[in-house]
Formats: sequence, structure tokens, C-alpha cells
Amino acid sequence: MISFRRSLADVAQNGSGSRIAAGLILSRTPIVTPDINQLESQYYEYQSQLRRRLMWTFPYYFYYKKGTVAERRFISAQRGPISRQPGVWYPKGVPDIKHNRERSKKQEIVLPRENSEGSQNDDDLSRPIIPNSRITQADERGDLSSLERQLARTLYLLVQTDRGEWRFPSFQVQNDDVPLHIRAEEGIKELGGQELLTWSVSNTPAGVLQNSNGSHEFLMKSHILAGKFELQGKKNFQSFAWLTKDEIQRHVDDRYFAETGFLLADI
Amino acid sequence: MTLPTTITTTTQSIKNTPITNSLKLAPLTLTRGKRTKSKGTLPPLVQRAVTQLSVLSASRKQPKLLKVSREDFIKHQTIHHCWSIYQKELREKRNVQLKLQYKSTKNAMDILQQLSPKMFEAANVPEDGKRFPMELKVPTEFPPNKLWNYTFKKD
Amino acid sequence: MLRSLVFKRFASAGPPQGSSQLSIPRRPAKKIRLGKARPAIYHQFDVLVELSDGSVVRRRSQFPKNEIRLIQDQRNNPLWNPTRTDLVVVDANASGKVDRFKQKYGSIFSNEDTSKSVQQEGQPGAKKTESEAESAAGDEDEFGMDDYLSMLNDSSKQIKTGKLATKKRDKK
Repeated sequence: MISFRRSLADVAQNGSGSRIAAGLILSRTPIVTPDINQLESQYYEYQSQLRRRLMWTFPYYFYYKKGTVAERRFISAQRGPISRQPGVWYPKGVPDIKHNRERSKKQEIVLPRENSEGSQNDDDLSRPIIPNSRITQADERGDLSSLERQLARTLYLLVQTDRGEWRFPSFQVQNDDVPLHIRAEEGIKELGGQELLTWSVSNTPAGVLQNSNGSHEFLMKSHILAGKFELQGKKNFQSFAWLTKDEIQRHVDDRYFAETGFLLADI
Repeated sequence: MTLPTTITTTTQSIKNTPITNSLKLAPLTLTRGKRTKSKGTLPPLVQRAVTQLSVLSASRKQPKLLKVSREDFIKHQTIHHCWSIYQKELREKRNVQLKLQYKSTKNAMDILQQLSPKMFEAANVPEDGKRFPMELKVPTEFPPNKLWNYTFKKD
Repeated sequence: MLRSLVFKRFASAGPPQGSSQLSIPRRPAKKIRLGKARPAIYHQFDVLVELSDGSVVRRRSQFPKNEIRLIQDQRNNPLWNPTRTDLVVVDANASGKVDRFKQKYGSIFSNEDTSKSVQQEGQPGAKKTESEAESAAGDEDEFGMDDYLSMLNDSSKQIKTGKLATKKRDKK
């Protein structure tokens, strides 16, 4: 509130001489789901085990037709429960079996493997699924300028000025007729190449930064969707980087982060 | 306990004298008689319907109820209490951030109105019918083979 | 009023009326006491679903399968990726029923237009049908759809004599 009053006073002093710039918070949305911490993973594990214990017996007779090869393969793959025999002492409780399932335990079902084990070629549609790694080559190289790093986090574009400080890219507004978000989109294409696909979230600015010389920088939000970002001519900025929120905190000074940090996503 | 031993002895005797003992073993062979109880009297269509209904019904498929000791029950409650506190913290953090973002936007718009009424009007234009672009994809558990589309060509 | 209400109640309580009605053997209804109801938790498997671009999603499913691979989905459909130029469009139904049908009978659909035109010609001049039928019989090697149409137009007379088949059996 105090800063707001002061800004009004500044405007009154400067009058029409104040300059406007359109800043752009260009983000790359996460490609993979967020990493979960230890508490979350343990809680999910506990819940899933409870659920598996309380799940009904698997009705295999519905999914496998009687007398087929598939049914025989399924039945032979199962490790059956311990059955109840008269005159036997069971240390872990007397078995209570219905539909070939021990009712006081979770049902463990072994599904027979359907896919071909040996074939690794990509054309074979029945090859086993091997997921790609969530940690990419860019992560291993520590390449900050790659869009393929930190897939689980939102990345933001930061540029380095001639004085060596990191900040969001900003572009001067010369013409009053051009709205802020269009000016920011034009600016990012002048800066990073025309072959960029971006999507501006809104035409309303998300925040404002006031410089000491009385100029105002309005921060617009946008997402990058496709295209390669490369600095076109290093006139204003030396280099660029795609950083997460934590890394931004380490790169910029505290005052700048206090003004912009809450605009950035935690994941 | 006596059954296995007798079986082993008989097998040994078979090995030793296969032909002479065959007559003795003959009464032991079990033959399957005619079924007296007729099974599967239902016509196939009805049988199919019964199978489908039995998938939905709980009878004979429900496991036993969980019976936890008092200690385990307290543990269970503690876990859930911890989880709800954790969720509450996350929620509060998110709400604080949203409030800050709203304040920031309002502040920016106020200043913009002072500086340039024309741009303020342009920033206030209602954006009805604005949609998310098709290229925004839902995050998956594991990344795709091609991580980023670098070859975008402007029409 | 009361009568209609009674009738309605009776109708709702009765078994569903339909042509293919199944009579499933009744079982004694199990009574669920107060506080003894339990939620239906069906057995579910953990499934890895691989989308067409290689990304993998983990999910639960009742179907007994551990891995599912999608050939054609949102990730490689040109409708959902208007800006992608490097898409390899795979037709999942390449060897499916519809495609095989098209391969087999595709030629019929191509000369569908000619058969329609013949039909349109035949309908206004109903008296010309005899001569047309003769011509159709003449070129038997061309077995088109118009043959049946001409037959339908030509000799369709209602039979008014003789016994009609009924559902009821004769009582003897």
C-alpha cells in the first residue's frame, strides 16, 4: 500500500514523461507430473495398500472365457492360497477361502506375460513398455538454456543484461495504440526468433515493477508452446536461461524476487 | 502321515516286480462314474447374464473387514490427521499466493490507468471465448520420446 | 384415479417387458443391516499406458492387463496438433473390419451414382419397367444393384388367396 502511494506521487511528479515497458514472464509448462515428496509417497503407498486389502476378489471367470488357452494360462500363473485341511494347526489363522482367495489378505494376482520378451525393435507393438527417464540429458549436462531441463517444473525465461544481472525480458512501448500483451509478444519474437509459438494468458498485466528513473515495467504472462528460442543479436541482453522458481531466487537479487516471486508457480 | 509311506512302498514294489503285482493294484484304480448331479442347467444366454451380474455383486467376493488393534487405529488416525494438516498448509500457501497475485494485478491496473488510459482500456477488454491452445498437453508420468517441438513454422 | 395409481405401481414393480426377456433364477435377497453396508471396491490392476508419442501414464483399471499401448490418440492426431509438421499418422484401423470391407466392396460404392440415376429414370415411367427388366436380363454379366430394384418395381403383387400363416397352432 505504501509503495502504491509513492508510485502515484512519482507519476504526479513525472507527469507525461514516465515511460512504459512491457515485461514478459514466458513460461514452459511442466511436461511430466510433479515430483512427490517423502510424505506424499508414503501416504499414497499406505492408501493403496489399504485399498488393495479391501478390494473384492478378481472375477477372472468374466474376463477369461471358460475352456480357453488364455484362461488356462491365467490359472496356471497364479500362486494359490493355502487351503484349509482338517487337523492342521495354522499359526497365522485358519484360512478362509472363497473364489480361490484368502479373505483376510489382499489378493495377489500374477498376470501372464503377453508381450514378446526378446524383441526390442520399435516396430513390434507387443514389446514391453520401458518408460523414458524423467531426468534428461540437459539435466545431466546442467544446460540452463535448454527447454528440455527440469521436466517436472515450470520453467521461466530470464535474460542477462549487460550489467550482468538477471531479469525477465522487457520491451519499451513506443506506441500507445498497441496493447501490452501484443507488444510483449512482438518483443519476444524480435528477441528470440520469429518461429516461436506463444500463447498469452491475458491482456491484463500481472504485476508492475517501478524503476528508480520513474519508468514502469508491466509484467505480462505467456506460455511457450513450440519453437526454438535463440537470442537474435545480443544488443540488449547477453544470454538467456530457462529457470525454475528456486533457481530464479538464486539468480536475481532479493528485492527483485520479492516483487515477482509470488507470480511464479511452485511446481 | 501314514499315506505317503504306503505310497512309496507300493511304488518300490512296482519297480521291483512290475508284472506280478499288477493284479493286486487293479482294484485301487479309481473309475469315474456317471454324473448324478446335473451341472449347468442354465441356457448359455442366461448363464452369461448371471456371470455379468455376479461381477457387480459383492457376494463371495468381499474380503473380511479390517480389524485393527487400538494402537493401529491410533496410528491410522495420526496418519490421516497428518495428511489433512499437510493439505491445509498447502491450501493456505496457495491462497496467500493467489491473494498476492490479485493485489499485484490490481495495483498494476491502477498505475496503468494513471499512466495511459488508452492502454488501460486495451488491457480491460473482456476475453470471452478465449481457449487454451491445443498444443498445451496434460503432463504425463514419464516424458515422450521427443521432448520439445523445435520445428515450428509460422504460416 | 386410484385405479390408475394402483395400475402404475403394479407396472413398475413387474418385470421389465421386452422381446428378449431373460428369466434369471431368483436368489434370496441378502439383508444388509444398518451400518453394515460397505462400498463396492472392485479389483483394479495398475496399468502402464503408453501414448503414441512415447509418454507413459500410470493408471488403474479393472481389465486384467499390465501394459496398454495406444497406437492412435490425441498426441499424434493432426486435429489436436495443428502446428506439428513431423507427425507420423498411423491408422489403427488399417487392418480392421471397416478397411477390409472397403477394400472388398469399394468398387460398389464407386458405381453407386450410376445405379441411382437408373433408379430415378425408372420411377417416373412406371410402364417402361418391363422393357427395362428385359434389358437387365439381357446383360447378366453386369451384376449390379439395379437388377434387384427393377425386380422390386416389376412384379410385386399382394397375394390375396390361400391360407395365411398364423402364430396359433391348429387344434386337433
